[in-house]
Amino acid sequence: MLSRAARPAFKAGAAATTLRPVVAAAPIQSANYATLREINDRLKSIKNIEKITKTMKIVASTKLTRAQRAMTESRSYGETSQTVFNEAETKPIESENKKTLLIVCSSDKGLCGGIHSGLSRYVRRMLNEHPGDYNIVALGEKCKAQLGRSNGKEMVLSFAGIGKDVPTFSDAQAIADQITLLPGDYSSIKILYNKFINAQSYEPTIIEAFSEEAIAASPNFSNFEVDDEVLANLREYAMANSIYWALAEGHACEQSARRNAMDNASKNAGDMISKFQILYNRTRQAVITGELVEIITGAAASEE
Amino acid sequence: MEGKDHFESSQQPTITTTTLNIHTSKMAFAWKAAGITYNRYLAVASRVVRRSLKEDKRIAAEKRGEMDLRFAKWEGGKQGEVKNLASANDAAMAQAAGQASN
Repeated sequence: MLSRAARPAFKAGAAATTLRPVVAAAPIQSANYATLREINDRLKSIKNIEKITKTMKIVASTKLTRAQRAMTESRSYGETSQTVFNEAETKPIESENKKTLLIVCSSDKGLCGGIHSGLSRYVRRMLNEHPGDYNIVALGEKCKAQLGRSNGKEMVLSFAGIGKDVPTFSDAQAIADQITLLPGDYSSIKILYNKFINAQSYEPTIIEAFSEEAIAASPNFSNFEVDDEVLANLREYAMANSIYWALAEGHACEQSARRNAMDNASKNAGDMISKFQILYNRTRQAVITGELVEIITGAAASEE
Repeated sequence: MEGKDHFESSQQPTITTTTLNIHTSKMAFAWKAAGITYNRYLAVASRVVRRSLKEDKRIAAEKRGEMDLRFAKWEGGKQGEVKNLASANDAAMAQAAGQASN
């Protein structure tokens, strides 16, 4: 909502700062008042935008603490689940004719810098390196829209409604269930998400969700004494765990990215406000000086 | 010992007996026969636990069990119809149950 409304205004504001002095240098007397009001109007609208971005920053900061807590908790789920496969030394099966399923964890909401397009770019690079090897499942509207445009043929599923709140484990379970229902036979499943490094940086990272054959074929798996019967359960549950981890970590990244984006937007708005304030004061001065000159010359002329 | 025998002989397809049966017998899980996936089984079990909590804890806990996602299948580069995920999962499991019993 804001992005569409704000960008033309920002652009117009940026253009105005460069254009206005030229106009002001050769003012038409009657137009002076109009430009003055124009500048004032623009100043007001930038101030309003600054208020909005500041508020959004505060909202994002509050959400960030919750998101980070959820992330730390989810990480223990995901890492514990992944320990089994690390200990069993599970490797994804490399096979020529089977595709890999790529689950991309983004969200529905924008206004958070480039984290969604970062994921999309990563996906496109992977697809370019191995064309035809991947099928994509997009979680969240943003990556769906971006990848749907460029790689619509590879898409098999898309989910919406992610990112309204901190992701729940039920979300991850339902997604995992729907993914297991997919007709295709995949050699491995990769979950792509934004890894939270610190508040400023994040990077696209992959978690492996192994197929049943891969789990069964891993060298140390017999140590766990898991019956074949429950193997499918383990796989489904591990996938839900990984998806939950990816969603929660992605959510934390998104909130911190949004906080940064809004922080920058507020700073830029502040810069523009000070520029416009100076411009406004100068123009006002010029108008007053012009009027004084008129009055004085008028008075001097009528004295004679 | 007696309690364990009782569980195996009665073979009631309730959640308690099936969980006990994981290592004790080769009986297929009752919920698996009903077409329910392990994740769904966990979701149902956790919902039961959440609902049996005390009022103040329950409200906070039930928030964690909420799921309101929509999904769409894609074919040949085009997005299909957007459906509710929960109802689609239920339908798919009911279908799986029908196939399993045949």
